[in-house]
Amino acid sequence: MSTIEAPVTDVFTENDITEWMSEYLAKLLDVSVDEIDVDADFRSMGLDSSSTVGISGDLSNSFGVELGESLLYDYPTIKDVASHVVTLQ
Amino acid sequence: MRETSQVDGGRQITVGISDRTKLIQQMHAFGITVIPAVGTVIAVYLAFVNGLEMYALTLFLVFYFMTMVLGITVGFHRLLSHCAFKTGPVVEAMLTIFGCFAFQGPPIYWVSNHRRHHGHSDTHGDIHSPYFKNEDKTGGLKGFIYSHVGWMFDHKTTSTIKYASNLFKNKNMLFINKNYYRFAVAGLVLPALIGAFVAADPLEGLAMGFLWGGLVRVFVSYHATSSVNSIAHMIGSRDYDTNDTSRNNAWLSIVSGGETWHNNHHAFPSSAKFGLKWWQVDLGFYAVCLLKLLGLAWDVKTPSNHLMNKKNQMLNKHLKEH
Repeated sequence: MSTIEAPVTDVFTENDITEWMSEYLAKLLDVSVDEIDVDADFRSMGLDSSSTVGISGDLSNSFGVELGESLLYDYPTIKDVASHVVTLQ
Repeated sequence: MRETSQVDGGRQITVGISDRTKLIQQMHAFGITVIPAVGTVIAVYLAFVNGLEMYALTLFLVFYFMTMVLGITVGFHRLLSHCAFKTGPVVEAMLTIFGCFAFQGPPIYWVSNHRRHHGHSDTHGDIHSPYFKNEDKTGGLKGFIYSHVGWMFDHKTTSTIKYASNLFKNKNMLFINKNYYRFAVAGLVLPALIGAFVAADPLEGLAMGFLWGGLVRVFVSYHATSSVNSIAHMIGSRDYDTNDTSRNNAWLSIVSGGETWHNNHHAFPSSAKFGLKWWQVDLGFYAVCLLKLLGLAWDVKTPSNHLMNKKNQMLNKHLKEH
């Protein structure tokens, strides 16, 4: 997968996480960003257990926050992840 | 100021999964190790007592060819893991579904494990080496058992994002991956139903179809595949100098669909042809050739004579030096 840039900012918003996740999944699944539903369950997108942990790791690296490996299991939609991760900064 | 991050840099080769997912993996490993073995003992016993009907043997052979040759070696291995040839979406989906019949895990899991095996062959990152049990060195009988069956119970989960991200772009693949268990079970139900239809006694046909086309077939394909991980890294001959212990084993080449020309495969991983000499029987490659003849496969990769000679000379030079 090619690179996706995290926003160059000290403080990130829910929207930043949502945009990053949407772009990441659009690249991974080879669809347009518009086709990514922020309310859809990650499982319904076809992601397996291993990939959800991998995505959590990439999100953690990009935004510089400590995220648990079960993040996408505990927060199963982009919207849920964004609203949770934004509280961790 | 936060720096720009790269999502494909510095990824781990394994990921931590939940206890629940680990338990499912271990139950799957237990199931494929024990249930087909029990079914095979029963089937062989019944064959000794009552004899073996031709339809049961035919179901075994046909479903074995679909699973081991078309599904595992041609589909999961040569096509999905190594992109050794190209085909259309329908053939690709069929080969992948046949691979699910083997009960060796969903395609994306299988492919990521296999690519990890090639990236770390016979080192501590290898998922099923006879010489490493995760981080610890092993070998001998313990190493054989670990690489044959043990790894399935305690392996660290391979990152599918790192090793098989290309497959997530394929909608058919995601559908089959998600419905892996349904397709795997269909591989047991189908021969049972055919058995019930063709046998004089439908109930007996159902049982014999389930046993021979289902459990015995899964048992043999499971151990044929596992022998590539264990035996083909321990004993056999080497025609090419590779940075691992891969070896060729002619005696297992037919039952494994050509998989046990394993030193050849590690020397030329992207080749669709594993049996590189005319006498090295390779059913998987013959199946790819048939698909090509029918116009259903193209861009079939094979190594040039020049490249094979060069690698062979490297081995001879290596042997002379040692």
